[in-house]
Amino acid sequence: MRTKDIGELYRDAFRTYTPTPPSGVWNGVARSLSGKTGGGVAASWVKPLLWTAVAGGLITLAVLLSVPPAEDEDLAPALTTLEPASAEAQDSLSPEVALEASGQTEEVIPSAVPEKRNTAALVREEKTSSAVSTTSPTVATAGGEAVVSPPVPAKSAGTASPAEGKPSAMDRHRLQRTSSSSSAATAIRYSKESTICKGQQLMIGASGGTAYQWSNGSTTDSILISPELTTIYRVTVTRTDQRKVSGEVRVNVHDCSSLFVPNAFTPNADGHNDEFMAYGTGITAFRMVIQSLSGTLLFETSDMAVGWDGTYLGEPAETGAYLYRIDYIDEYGNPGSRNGRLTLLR
Amino acid sequence: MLTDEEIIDGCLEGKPRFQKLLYRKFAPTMFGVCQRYFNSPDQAEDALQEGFIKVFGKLHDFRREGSLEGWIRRIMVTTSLNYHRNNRKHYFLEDVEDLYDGSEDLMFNNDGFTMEDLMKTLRGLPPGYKLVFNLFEIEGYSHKEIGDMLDISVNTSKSQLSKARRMLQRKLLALYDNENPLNNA
Repeated sequence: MRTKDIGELYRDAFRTYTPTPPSGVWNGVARSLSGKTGGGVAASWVKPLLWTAVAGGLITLAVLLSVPPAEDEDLAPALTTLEPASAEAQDSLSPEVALEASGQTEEVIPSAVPEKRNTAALVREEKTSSAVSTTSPTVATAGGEAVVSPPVPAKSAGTASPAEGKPSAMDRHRLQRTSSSSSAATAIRYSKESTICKGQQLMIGASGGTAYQWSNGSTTDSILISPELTTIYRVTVTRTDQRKVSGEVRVNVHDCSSLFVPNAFTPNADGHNDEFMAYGTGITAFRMVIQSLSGTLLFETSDMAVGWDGTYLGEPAETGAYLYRIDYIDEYGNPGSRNGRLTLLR
Repeated sequence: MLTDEEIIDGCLEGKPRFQKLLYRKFAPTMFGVCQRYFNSPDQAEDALQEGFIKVFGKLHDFRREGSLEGWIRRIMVTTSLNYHRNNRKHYFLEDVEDLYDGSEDLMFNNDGFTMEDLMKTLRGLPPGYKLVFNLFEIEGYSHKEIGDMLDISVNTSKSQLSKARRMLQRKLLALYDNENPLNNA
């Protein structure tokens, strides 16, 4: 079971929380920018009224239209870093698929939640993109194709992830072109995400072109990555007709080593929760001690599979509060410790 | 595709396309940052807008040593904090009876909560708790830095944080109990 400290819980969730601001915000910024040529900052700014929002919309569109066609593709994927628009692509983000990719099904739900919001925003942005496309119909052709393969464990080959050996994982991780339903729509966009544990490696790749340029500087068609933090990898593919298309893959990185320590146990021999023990994955060294509140050492173990049965010197210990301390080393060699209070109930 | 360097250069030359690119690249993340500091969406939008105006205004001061995103994030945080400036002195009145030793920290199963749960519980915190929790746990500032930013003592920052943590744990537990009747097997 994957559990988190309260701070970690919020930190991880908000790190991937990227709501799309309403367009009025940019309009206000753009107004301030167009109002001055120097670097000065407005001492105060005025929240845009409705009419200025409309005017701002026109400015935005004009900016987009003035972009040379080849650059439109560069702009378009930036709109959709997160969520595919098509139902098919949505399906590829289902937790089962992510499980195949990462072996960490628990990680999927919270990271997927905030991004749901972007679907609506994406639909809105779609209009802008198609407006661009009408002025540059050549953009409408399709290009490269990118593939994410299942992660390769970087260390400890023994901890096989459920992803390995499933041929469907590769297919299902094929980057989906997030085509909007009409074939006239245009901007070429790939949008895909994958989740790995910190320390794991992941192969991502693109195909269908003559040259590749990745955001990490690589120029091969596929790259082996092992990011420390959640990272968006972008690739620009030069096709045989020399046009460039780009796509991106978001690779979520989670710290998967973890320990779950219950708050209470009931050593009443009912076969349920009769021992106090920690549960975890990727733990290579472990030591747990249990003390009474007055400091008497009641139990000690260096085997994670051995729990405290609630006895001391052969006698049942009293119900109430006890203290535990756990020291451990995770699979990447990082030491950690945990202490807290547990309640013995009968 | 453009690197941050190229985007910055384009912005410094006053090219609207690059300004928009910079905004597009960072606005969603920064909107997420601003939203954590305000209960009202309007205020978060205001802070985001003001923050980006500052970003463009100060971009020539960006020394390109750290990441552009980190620099922008810091501007968003300080801009958001400025909105609280007038009321801040009311946020940190100490209530001594509420000290907390940290020994009862709970661990949470992270698929038990939606983003909405987390945002709602965070927003439900008293304002002082919320600022300190945001700055320490999510932004990663030290108590010393937070003390300087909010003009409070290190100890106040620490006690606000543990109170915030405890209150969030209680709120989440309550949600968990309500929403997962099978949980207490």
